[in-house]
Amino acid sequence: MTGRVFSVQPFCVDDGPGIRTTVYLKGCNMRCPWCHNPEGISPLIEVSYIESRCENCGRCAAVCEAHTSKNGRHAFDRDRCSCGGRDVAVCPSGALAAVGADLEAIDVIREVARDRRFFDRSGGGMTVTGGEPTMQPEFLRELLALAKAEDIHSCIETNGAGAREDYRAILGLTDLFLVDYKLTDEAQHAAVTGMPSAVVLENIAFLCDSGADVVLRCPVIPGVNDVEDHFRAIAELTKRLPVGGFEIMPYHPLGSSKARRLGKDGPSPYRAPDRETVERWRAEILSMGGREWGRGL
Amino acid sequence: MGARAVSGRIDALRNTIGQLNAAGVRRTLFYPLAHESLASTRGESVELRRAKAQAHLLDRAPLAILPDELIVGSAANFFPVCEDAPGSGEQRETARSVLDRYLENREERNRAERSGGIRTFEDSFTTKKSRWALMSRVYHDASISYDDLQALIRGMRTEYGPRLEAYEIGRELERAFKLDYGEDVRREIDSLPWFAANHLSLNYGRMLSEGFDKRLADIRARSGEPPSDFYEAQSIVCRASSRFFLRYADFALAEAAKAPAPRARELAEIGLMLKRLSARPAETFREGVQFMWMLQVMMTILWGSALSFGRFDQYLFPLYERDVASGRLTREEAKEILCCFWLKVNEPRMRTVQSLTIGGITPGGEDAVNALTDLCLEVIAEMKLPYPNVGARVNRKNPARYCDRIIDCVRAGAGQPMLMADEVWIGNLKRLGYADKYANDYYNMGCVEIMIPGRQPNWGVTEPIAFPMLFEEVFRRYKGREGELDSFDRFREAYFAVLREHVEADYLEADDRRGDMPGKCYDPFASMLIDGCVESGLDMFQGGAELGTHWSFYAYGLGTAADAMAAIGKRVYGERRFSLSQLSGMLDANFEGFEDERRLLSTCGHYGNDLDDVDRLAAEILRKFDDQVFSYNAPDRRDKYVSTLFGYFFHIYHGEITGATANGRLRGEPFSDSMGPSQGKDVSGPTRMLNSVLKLDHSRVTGGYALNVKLNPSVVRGDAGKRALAALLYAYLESGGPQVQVNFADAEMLKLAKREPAKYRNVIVRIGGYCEYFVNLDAALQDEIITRTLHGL
Repeated sequence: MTGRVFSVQPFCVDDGPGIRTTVYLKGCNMRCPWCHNPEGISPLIEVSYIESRCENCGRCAAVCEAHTSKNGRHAFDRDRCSCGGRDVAVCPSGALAAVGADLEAIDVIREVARDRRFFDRSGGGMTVTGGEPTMQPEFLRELLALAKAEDIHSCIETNGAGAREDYRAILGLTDLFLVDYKLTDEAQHAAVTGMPSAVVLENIAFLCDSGADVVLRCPVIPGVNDVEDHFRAIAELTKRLPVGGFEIMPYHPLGSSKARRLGKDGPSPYRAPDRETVERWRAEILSMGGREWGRGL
Repeated sequence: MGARAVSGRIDALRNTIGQLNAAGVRRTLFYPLAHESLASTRGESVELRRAKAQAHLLDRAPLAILPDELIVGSAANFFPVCEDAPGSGEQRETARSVLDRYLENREERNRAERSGGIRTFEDSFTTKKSRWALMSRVYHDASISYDDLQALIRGMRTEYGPRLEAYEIGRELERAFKLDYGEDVRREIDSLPWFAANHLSLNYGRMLSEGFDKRLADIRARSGEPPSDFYEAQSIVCRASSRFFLRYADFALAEAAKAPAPRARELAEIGLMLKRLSARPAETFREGVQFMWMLQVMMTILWGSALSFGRFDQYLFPLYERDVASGRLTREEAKEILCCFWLKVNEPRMRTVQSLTIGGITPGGEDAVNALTDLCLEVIAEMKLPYPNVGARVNRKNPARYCDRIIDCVRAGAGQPMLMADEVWIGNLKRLGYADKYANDYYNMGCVEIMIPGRQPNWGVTEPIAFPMLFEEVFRRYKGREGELDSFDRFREAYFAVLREHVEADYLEADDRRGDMPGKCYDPFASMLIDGCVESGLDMFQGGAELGTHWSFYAYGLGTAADAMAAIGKRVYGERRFSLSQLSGMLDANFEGFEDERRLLSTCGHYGNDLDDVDRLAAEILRKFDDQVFSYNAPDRRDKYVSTLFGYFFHIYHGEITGATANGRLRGEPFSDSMGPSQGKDVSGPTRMLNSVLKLDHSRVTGGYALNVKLNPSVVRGDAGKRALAALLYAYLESGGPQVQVNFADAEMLKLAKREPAKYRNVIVRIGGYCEYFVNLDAALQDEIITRTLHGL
């Protein structure tokens, strides 16, 4: 079967243990404003436009009325686009690019398996992320089943807010669940992500109860969740549950430039923490008895 | 001796050597001294004249001992600073007059080969089209510094731009500032000719474990009465070598008399040590390093270059082990000695691309990693020096901690050591017909070339073959009858026919060179240090060495060639978008007016991305080349013909003189380097690049191999980064990859990548846990990463 994928990236070293090939699926059920992969939010195939690459050749304008040339400068009005990708097809410079493609699971796995020698040497494998991978549950299950059949170690990176039955369906097929734990305050969680935190906590507990290997991935965003209560909750979770530990994912503004290329919001209001700050957060959680994930190996 | 004392001495020595290197351009006393001797020996045999001139050089070369150093021997005063080097105004005037004159009679000049000067490795490697001074080490006999010369070339390109090609300006100016040592001096020296040891590893280990007295006794025992010229020459250079040690001993003692207390004692110790070593073998680790280094200095004075240290951690280990076991030497003291040595390799004019090899297995096949190997890795990581060029042999018998430390060392950022897979090289040397004890003992000479230490004469070179340049010959040959190449198979056959002809031409060139040596080429000093010569009574250039010469067929630019082949296969023969003759026209026009076609051709898949179609073409080109080179070998032939997939920096200057290629590369742009992909075209990450390389058949690569993996330092940061780097490199080597070295993208490269993204699409950076292509980041983020890289993260 096919799934909607926006990237297959080899040589990822921060998405689980070892050297991994990460598969990015389209579509997400949360709307976190700090998202570093904004191209994964919409389930639709989008068009990204990188202005600096545009040579202003006018070919897109000839096939799609969304594109115009004003004073020798290319302008792109996304709302008027209905050309079905013809603008991307004629763009010679790569300024316009389709974000997302429908790929066969078997083709994705073939692509992933090319790095098997590096997985074997590093304890790596495939990581499926997004977006939220459980938003394409059948495709996700097929990818994981194929990886299992090929003896490739698999991780999924999930926001924890998928449907229970979708997690259940992949329990035996997934070697490691990297589950986000974003916010502790219930009201804030609901307001910021658009989903209730209880769902996430229940799913984490469910995965642990089911014997799955779970790691808590904690995006820390200055001014949003770099607070003691949250750090304490992280520490408590690692004490209370048989998870592999926590891992801090410091906020990075990579997402905002990607968002702009998709015609979405401009610069984000957050500031990236320096390394000392991240160290301080880590130390704080550790001092509260939190267990940090050692990345296996 | 405490750690602080070590670092104080080393810092001071580093500073001193830095100042020596910054003191200005240097001339050499080689010409006047060699001439002095040769003028007094006319009529004698070449072999004896060489020996006497070598002795004269050793007896007269000015000595120098630097402050703070523990290992002495320096050629700094043998290469005095040029006091009358031209200023920048004068340089510009000279440049203009040279270029004006060149313009006036370009045709005539193109034909005239510039002669004069000693025939060095570089000269032999140089064709009439060539530029040579692209790397500073080569430009070592000129009245202008490398940086000044580059600035001058840039300036003159602006002035003479349209009238002269870039390469013409570069070439003419590189030659314009050669130092003049006088016509008769050069003539006398060239008449021999002065053929000196270069691109090899002398058997320092054997010499320092025997000593000059024993060697002299050996020479006397073997030489009949009257002695042959060879033994007479050996006796002359052996005694001269011993005298050179004594001169240094006296010099050190005289310095001791003038020095303040702590240094006076060190100098006295050094003087006494050198006195012992003038006759006897090295008995301590420090004596061993001192002995070895003194031999290196002597050979450099005698015009040797690219003298590799060979299997350093093997021949010095017995002394190290004995000293440490007896309590005479601590690890820290040994480290300090090594640091001194490492620094001295970087003295002025000593850096001639010399390698040092560690690890691997012993000639007998046992794990060769030892405590000295570890110490070397520690020194490399801490010193971060450009030379020596360290090659780490990796063998499955080596302990895990060794492999681990190699990774630590690579991550330290000096790009050292490079890694070589024993499995590949030992196997390939055996296929050449070598017995295990030789194959097991290989080392990387100079840069990446594979040789057997202490037993072979100079590495033999022939004209390098640029895979992408051969297309020009195919198009030229079929001009007007492109229709004959009516299938992709026929086109490839035509290409391989040209390839075979070039290899054949190299073979004939090697034959010529070999034929040029009998009765003419001698290096008595070097022959003293190459096994087999004293035993057989023959100079190493006269067949005396225990093993024969490796004649190297260099080839490079595989990425550009494979991409061009893929583009032709896809667009011309597959899709039939345009005919071969139309393509030929586009290339002639340098794609002017053919922008769309150029775009089509440059998007046909690139070697280095694990794409089977183009990788298959790369493998085919390599196989045809290797097969042809290998076909000249026979088990009963002493000399071997080896394929070396390494282009040094030829990819730049050959690119400068080559027209557009079918992969969309424009006229004058560089080719891909050595075994790497086209610049910036490996856009799928390092694992995929290595996968492409691993599809090549490496079983007949016998001469050398260079593969660069370019990473941003952020990628290897932290524990995860370290493990990833180790897995990346070792998975590649264990899967049959022959060699690899890591280059870290520095801030300068990132700045270039920001300015010209198309050329740097392959640069990956790791930001707070995410890997991303640098060129995909927005300007502000790029700036931040540049700043972070500048500050070492």
